[in-house]
Order: sequence, then structure tokens, then C-alpha cells
Amino acid sequence: MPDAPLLEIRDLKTYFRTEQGLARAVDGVSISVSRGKTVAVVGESGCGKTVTALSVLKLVPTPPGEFAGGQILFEGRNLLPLSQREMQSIRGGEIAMIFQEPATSLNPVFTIGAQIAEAIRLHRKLPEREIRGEMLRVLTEVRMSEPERRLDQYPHELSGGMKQRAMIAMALVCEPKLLIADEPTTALDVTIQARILELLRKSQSQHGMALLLITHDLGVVAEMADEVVVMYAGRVIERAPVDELFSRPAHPYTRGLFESLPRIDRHDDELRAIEGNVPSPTNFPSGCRFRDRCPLAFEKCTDEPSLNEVAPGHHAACWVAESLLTTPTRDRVQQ
Amino acid sequence: MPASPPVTTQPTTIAKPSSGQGPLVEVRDLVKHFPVRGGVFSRVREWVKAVDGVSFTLDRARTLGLVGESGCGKTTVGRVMLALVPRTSGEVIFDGQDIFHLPRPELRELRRRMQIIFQDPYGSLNPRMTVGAIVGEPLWIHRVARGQELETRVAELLRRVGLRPDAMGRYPHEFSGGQRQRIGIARALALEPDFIVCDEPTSALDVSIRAQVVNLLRRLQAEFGLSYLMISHDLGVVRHISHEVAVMYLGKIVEQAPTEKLYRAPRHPYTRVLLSAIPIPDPKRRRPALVARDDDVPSPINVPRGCSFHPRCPLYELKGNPAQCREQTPPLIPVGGDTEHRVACHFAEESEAMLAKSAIQ
Repeated sequence: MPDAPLLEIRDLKTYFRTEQGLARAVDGVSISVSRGKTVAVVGESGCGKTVTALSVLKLVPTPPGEFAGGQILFEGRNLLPLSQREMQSIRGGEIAMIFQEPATSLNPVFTIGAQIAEAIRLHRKLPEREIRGEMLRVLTEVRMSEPERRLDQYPHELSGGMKQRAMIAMALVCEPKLLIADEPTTALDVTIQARILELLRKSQSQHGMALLLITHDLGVVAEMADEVVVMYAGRVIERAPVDELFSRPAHPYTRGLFESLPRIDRHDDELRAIEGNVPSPTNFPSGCRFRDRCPLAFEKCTDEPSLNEVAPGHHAACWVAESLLTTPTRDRVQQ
Repeated sequence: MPASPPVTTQPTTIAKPSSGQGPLVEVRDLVKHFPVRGGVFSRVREWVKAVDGVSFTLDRARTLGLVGESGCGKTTVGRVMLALVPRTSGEVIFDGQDIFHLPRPELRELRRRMQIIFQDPYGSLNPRMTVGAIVGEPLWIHRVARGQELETRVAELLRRVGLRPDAMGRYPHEFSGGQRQRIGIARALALEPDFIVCDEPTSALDVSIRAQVVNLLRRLQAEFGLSYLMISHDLGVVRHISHEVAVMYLGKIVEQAPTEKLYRAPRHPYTRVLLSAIPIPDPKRRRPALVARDDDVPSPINVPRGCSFHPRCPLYELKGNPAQCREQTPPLIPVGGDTEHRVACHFAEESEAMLAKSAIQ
């Protein structure tokens, strides 16, 4: 079925039992990723985007976490009921993941070579003698300087950019169908970030790999995404193809994000901030979760709006989203 | 040093004691090298040239943005300027006074006028102190106020940064990152300083909160005539708050200009690389970044000879690897006859034409 999405997250609910109560970190989230495409999930701290990503690979510790509902369909197969053992063949092999802090996801007591070799042995049937060649090939692909030397080095001997390349190499070496990248460049200097993003794009087109990219950086989204999913307080509040989202954002939160961005290509006098703070996942307000901070809130907002189609392929969860589509955001008006 | 004027409970623009004209802060050839010790006797093996000859001035009620990537030395500049870290050489003249040669009691007095806001809103507030104690501590230490008056002042400071006075009795962990940053700002304002070093004040905050903090800092500058040294790797934030920007690379300033000039017409190849690497939130403007040649920034222990950027410089490559770049450190000098715009590059005049693609319009 070429048209069926590669990954389909349906109404996922991932909750955590905490001392303050039940934290509904992911509270009914649906996201689809098609083969070879990039879907960016954007939102701020506490919106649930990282937990969503971790849930796909069942990397959420249970307890205190629990999968309270929904399905995660990968090539039509629901991953949620699978055992950890069954997940192990999928992790790395079919779905790979790279994280924000390469320092914490690379094992400090093993060399880079040992860690990449481990990935190969687990997921590919390569004869032992070909493993070294394969490692060098993938390190060259990720443009790691002095690849032979790196194989015998430990993570602490590498810079941030190099560690990230090593992690991407480990992810790519098994030719996954889907790569989940959780804030892969946030901890890196901006010039290194540009090169890592370029590398991800190139790898994607070379391998036909789908990319689920978690980020808070709208610039990264604009550079990388085919489709954008905006999350807030455990829910998806807007979803659209990237050009559409940036030119016609419909949800007040998305619009607020755009208006509050200090841009390097323009000078604004005052930044439009979104007042207030993100609600805590143990204590979401009733009705629309954004209404306490929304400049357009009115009586109907005490009823939670559902994610409705406001334009072809464009969904937003807001009672006034449709009219906002045709209202330019403040930053656009200035142009 | 004249005593502070008596404080009223109403926010007023308080006239600062001043020795007259001239910049508020002048930094001259500041150098900070950290020793790297090794071996059985902890002999000094190498030096980390964190700050390697930095000079600039800062006027009253102005903001100088100091930008650069990891290892460029910008944070160290801030710390050394406030004498939080001893310098290796160089001068810092604050309102006419040479801070490194002041006797301790005078330095202590001067410290009231120079404050700092830190990057980490979680690490910079003592978790065992109430917010009221944290914000009031500077007033207590400098014996400015006690008891009821202290409490009134703290309440006023909290209001000024957009927090409710009832925050006084609560602990830092009860607040969000953005709110904690406001607490840090309130603390920095307590002694009515003239100058605040803002060390990456928004980097740890969510995007929508950054705008709140930037707006607050601007408002406070307008209200109190504060000068800021805004240290940040976030060039978007810097553009919005700085009057002038200095770009650092491996311990030196490589370009310095009024903000709009720097962003619209950068001259140093590193500045161009830096600006072009930042992804713009507009999918219609995807463009190839002007890339630096090597991926990794060399360490400040091992600064390349001549111009420290030459191994990664696209202009060096375009010009066929000129020896001048390998052998002579370029001075920071005005380019194109513009004394406000200084660049440390042997080929600054030509860089615009040769690297034209990358300028942010």
C-alpha cells in the first residue's frame, strides 16, 4: 500500500503517575509520517513532543509512565502491545532515534567503533570481516573527519558536532525506514547545526528515509519540514504543510510563536510575547488549554475545540481558526 | 565615591553619580589565559587563551551585544570585567575608575553599580532561600536597608519585573524558568546598578518566554538608563536589544559595528558564516549556508597562527590560501572609511563582493 503512512500515531495517550497527580504528557495525539517525508513536531517545554517521540519506540519507563490509550502503527502493525524483546529488533533496525545530548546517549566506556559495530551486529547480517569497512563507509557518509582514528576514540575525545555525527552514523548504519530526531541540533553551535541539518537532509534523500523531527526552533522547521505539527499542553493544536503553516498560521498559539520570534533578518521594535506560562501536565485547564493565555479567548472557549480542517490539508483546534487564516500575523503586516 | 541618593518607594529615574563625560565602561586589551596543568608536579603545560586582547567601550543606557560560539571567550569577558575572575592583563575602567587597582573597600562600593544576570535560572538561585531573601540579599549585604524597608523594596523590585510581591515567601523551585529569570533580574536591580552583564539570559528559556524577558530588559533600560553587555549566541535576541554588536572568535573581537550595519552588511567572513548558518523561519527562504571549511572550532589552547580563522575561512580558500593570513594576525580596524565599523581581516574590503550571497538583507 504505497499511500498508507509509514508511521501512524493514533490518539496516543501517555501518562505519568507523579506525586502531584496524573501527568497527561501526551493526551490524544495523532501524527502521520509518510515514507521519505519529514514531519516536524514543534512546541515548547511541557507540550509532550519528546514523550511522543519516546513513546514510538516505547522508551518511556513504565512505571511511572503508562500507555493509557491509542495506537502506534508502523507499517500497519501496532507497536504498543509488543514486548521489549520484540521492540529491540525494531529499534535501530527499522526505526532509529537520535537525541539532543549526544554525550548522554553515547556510552562513555566504549569506543565509537565498538558502538557502531554493536548496532551492525544487532540488526544486519554482515560477516565480521566486513564490519570495519562498513563503519568507515558510514563515518565517511556523515563526513566525520579522520574516520579511522575515530573508531578507536571514546566519546569524550570528540567535540559536540563529532559526537552528533557519530550518533547519526549509528542510526544510519542499519538503514532505518524512519529516523526520529529529538532536538538533534539544539545543543550545538549554530555553524555546526547548519552542517548537521544538511547532513540529515542528504541522508534522507539518499536512503529514502522518513524523518520525524522534534524541535522548538521554527527556523529548523522551515529548513527541514514537509509537514508541521504544532503541539501544546499534550495535544496537537495545528497541523499543515510547511509553506501553508508559515504563510497562514491559524491557531492563536502558533501565531503567537511567530510573532514573538526575534528574527535576524529584521528589526522589530517590541517583540510580541505570549503572556503567561505553559500549564502543568498535572493540571490542564478545562476547555481549550490555551485560553488562559489567548488574546482572542471568548465564552465558547470553555468548550474544547477539536482539530478541524480549516483549509485543504490544514487542521487547527480553535473556534476562530478559519477567520485567522486570512488575517496576516503582525510580523507579516510589517513586511 | 558619593553615597547613593535616598530611595523613594516610587519608581523614578534616579540620577546616577558620575564623574562626567566619557563612556561608562572602557575595556582595554583585556587578556585572560587559563593554565592547563599536568604531570606529577602540576606544571603548567599549556594555556587556554580564553580572552586574548579585547577592547571596547560602552556608554550609558546602551547595549553592546557580544556574540560568538562556544569557546570564543565571551562569557569570560563578562566575568573578568566584573572582577569575578582575575585577569591576566589589561584594564577595565568603570566610570573613570580603574577597577583592577582599587583597594578592596572601594571595589566593593563599585560592585554595587555593576551586576550580572546568569544564563541558568535553575542554578543561579539558591534553592534553600526564599525569593524575598534572594532578591533582598544584596541590599542586606551592602547595608542599604533592613526590616520593613527591605521588604518594601523587595516588593517593588518584584513588581518591576512583572512578578507579584507574594512571590517573596516562596522558593525558586515553585517558579518556571522564565519567572526564575525575572527573579535573577530583580536581584540584579536591587542595588540600582548602572551596568549589568547579561550572560545568555534567554538561552535556557522557551521561545515565547524569551520575548517576555527581552522586552523587560529593554523597558528597564529605558526606565533606568541601564547599560548592558549582552552576551549571547542567539543572534536574533541580540539584534533586538543591542545598539552595537561585537563578534568574538577564539578570544578576539573579529568584527564590531552598530547593530543594523553588522546584520545587513557583515564584513568579516566568520560573521557571514555565522549569520548565514542561522535557519530563517520562512520556508520560502531556504538557502545554502555559507559554510566554514572545517566542522569543528579549534580549541583556544591551540589557536592557529596568523589569523585564527584562516583554516576555516571561505575567503582564505577563495583567495588561494594567501600567506598573509597564515602569518599575520589582522588588526581590528575600520573598513571602508567607516570608523564605526571595524573588522579584523586582511581582505575586509573585498569580502563583500566575494561572499555576496550570504548577507542577511
